[in-house]
Amino acid sequence: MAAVMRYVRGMAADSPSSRFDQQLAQLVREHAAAVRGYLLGMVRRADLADELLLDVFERAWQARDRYVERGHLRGWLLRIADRLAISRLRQVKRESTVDETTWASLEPIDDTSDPAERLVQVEAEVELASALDTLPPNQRRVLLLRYFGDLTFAEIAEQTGWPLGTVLSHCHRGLATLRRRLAEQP
Amino acid sequence: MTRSDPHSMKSSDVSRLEVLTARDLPPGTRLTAEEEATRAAFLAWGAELQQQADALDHQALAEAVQARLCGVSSSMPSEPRVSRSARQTRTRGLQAARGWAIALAMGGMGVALGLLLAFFLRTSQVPPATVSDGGRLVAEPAPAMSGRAVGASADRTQPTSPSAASGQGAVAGGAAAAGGAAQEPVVMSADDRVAWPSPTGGSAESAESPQWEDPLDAELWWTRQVMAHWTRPPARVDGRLAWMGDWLEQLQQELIGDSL
Repeated sequence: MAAVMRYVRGMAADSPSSRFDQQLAQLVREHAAAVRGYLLGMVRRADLADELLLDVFERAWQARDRYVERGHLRGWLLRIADRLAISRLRQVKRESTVDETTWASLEPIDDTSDPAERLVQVEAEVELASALDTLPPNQRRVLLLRYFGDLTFAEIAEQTGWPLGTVLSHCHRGLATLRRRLAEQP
Repeated sequence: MTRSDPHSMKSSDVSRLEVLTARDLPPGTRLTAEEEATRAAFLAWGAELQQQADALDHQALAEAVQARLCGVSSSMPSEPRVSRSARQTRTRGLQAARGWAIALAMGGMGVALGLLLAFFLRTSQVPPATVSDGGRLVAEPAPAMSGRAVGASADRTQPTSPSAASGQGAVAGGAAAAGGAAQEPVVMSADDRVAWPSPTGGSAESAESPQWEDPLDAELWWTRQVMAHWTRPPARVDGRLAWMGDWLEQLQQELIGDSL
């Protein structure tokens, strides 16, 4: 009886559905943090980044047949993320935005969250904003693709549609800005 | 490398920047103090972001993605793989079929509208004149005339009408017959010109300069002259022209009435 149960468990573990779950879980485990970091850097909103993160993995999984193995799966995921983020940013620009003060006055008071947790979250958001505010969007995009995707500058030029010289220029200026920022920090 | 060589300068810049921004430095790489500072700033900036991004529940994310893919997840592994070209061909086929369907629907609507238009035109026009024995035109009475129009047409046959008073020729027209001899067809010559009466009582050919008190009357009279003398239409059109002439006379009656 025990042998039969082991056999059945083994069959279940090898079923297409189970393999599918395992592959997807592995993909998420290995690359989700980097993709999320890139998305956070691009859209600068945690909720939007998480929404896009789901889209990225959904699309990547649906298009996995078209993926050509070039030893750079994360780069491929980041290209999908980049396209989605740019598209979303264009959409967000068209939407009317509400500043934080107005939103806070409209938002219902959340009694369930722990004030300490909320404070930590707010501090983290402030840190993130300060880190991102130092760079203009184009420079940020180049450096994010370089840092999280480890893409070469030629690949970044191909992804963004900019000439290689422009990409290098954005990178140069972005690095200079970051160096100044580091020097100014106490 | 010289600064005047843009290609070598570019490749040099690329390699230097790639080294500066690499997560792991290639072994044996030496950096200046400035480059070290730049690299440190870049890595610190990235680590700051990465720290924010690490607050992620991988398991929950994987489940959320699975939930989104739920509809296709069970069928995806066993689903036959369709090549890209096959998908494109299928898409093009569907687009072509859709285009044909739209074209056929629009064509059908056009035909239906044409038939409808033809039906209305046919019901609104006078039946065509037919050629009877002896080369004489026979126009059947107009089928649908309003009471007032019929009355006006009947009045036109009174002796006060110029056409009735002239006694020459006959105006072929359904309305003329409708007001007078019930369903009797009006017969006119196919060869002879229609002789419209002049205000002086003579024929149109003999009236050199008809005298009308009202310019509108003169205009109507000359219109009839043109229609009668300058056109030699086939029998079918001639019948319609006769009907039109009759209609003009009705209009004349309605506009100027007994002033004639």
